[in-house]
Amino acid sequence: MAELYRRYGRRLYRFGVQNLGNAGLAEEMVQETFVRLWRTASRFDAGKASVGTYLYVIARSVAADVRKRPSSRPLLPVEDAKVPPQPDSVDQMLDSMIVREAVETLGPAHAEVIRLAQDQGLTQSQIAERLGLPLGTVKTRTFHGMRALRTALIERGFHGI
Amino acid sequence: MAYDAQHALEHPEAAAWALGALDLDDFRAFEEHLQSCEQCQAEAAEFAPVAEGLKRAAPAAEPPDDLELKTIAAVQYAVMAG
Repeated sequence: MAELYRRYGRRLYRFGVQNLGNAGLAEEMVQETFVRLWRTASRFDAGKASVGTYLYVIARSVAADVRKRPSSRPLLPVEDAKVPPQPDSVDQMLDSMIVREAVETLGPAHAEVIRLAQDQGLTQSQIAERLGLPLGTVKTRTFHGMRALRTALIERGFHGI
Repeated sequence: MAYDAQHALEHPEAAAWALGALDLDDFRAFEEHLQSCEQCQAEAAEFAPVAEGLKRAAPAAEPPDDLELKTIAAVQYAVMAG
């Protein structure tokens, strides 16, 4: 099991972060994926698929289950529930590239607050404390940053808008 | 509904709301405000797909060092529990 983790753990974790958008949920997904691998090992047919493919199939199923749990979606908009992520679609891969490119176009002050919120999961007051800024400034920067990001996404043909 | 730029400055929370980055008090207050404010509803609807796009495009991340041990422990626990 340790050998399998060393071979596939990192890739599964990244898959989890990308699909669930949260490091803690990605950890949960990785652990549960390996538990399910162990539980279903007798069904695995090495002649039909590699262990990696089998693990990926399990991980997708686990990610879908984790996503359904109420604890995985504390403050997200209701609309999110109607649009389950499509991890394998070309559109989504393109959209991810577009998003990364669009974030690069933001001014550093706007990009910073958005990255702290999105990548590190900080709240507005935590960001204010981290950057030594008034809370109102952080809220305004987040607002204008998201506005600019939305415009940049539309200009680039982002499918999600 | 005419867009009120001053109102947007007074209520910039829609962006952080979509990102799930509002502090709890602000979250509650904004959700209440959202019930009756068409402009903020429109802003929130516009920001939601942007936040979703950001979430899906999360950068490649390194798993924490202790995830291997946690994973092996989870499997061992499952083995013992049958």
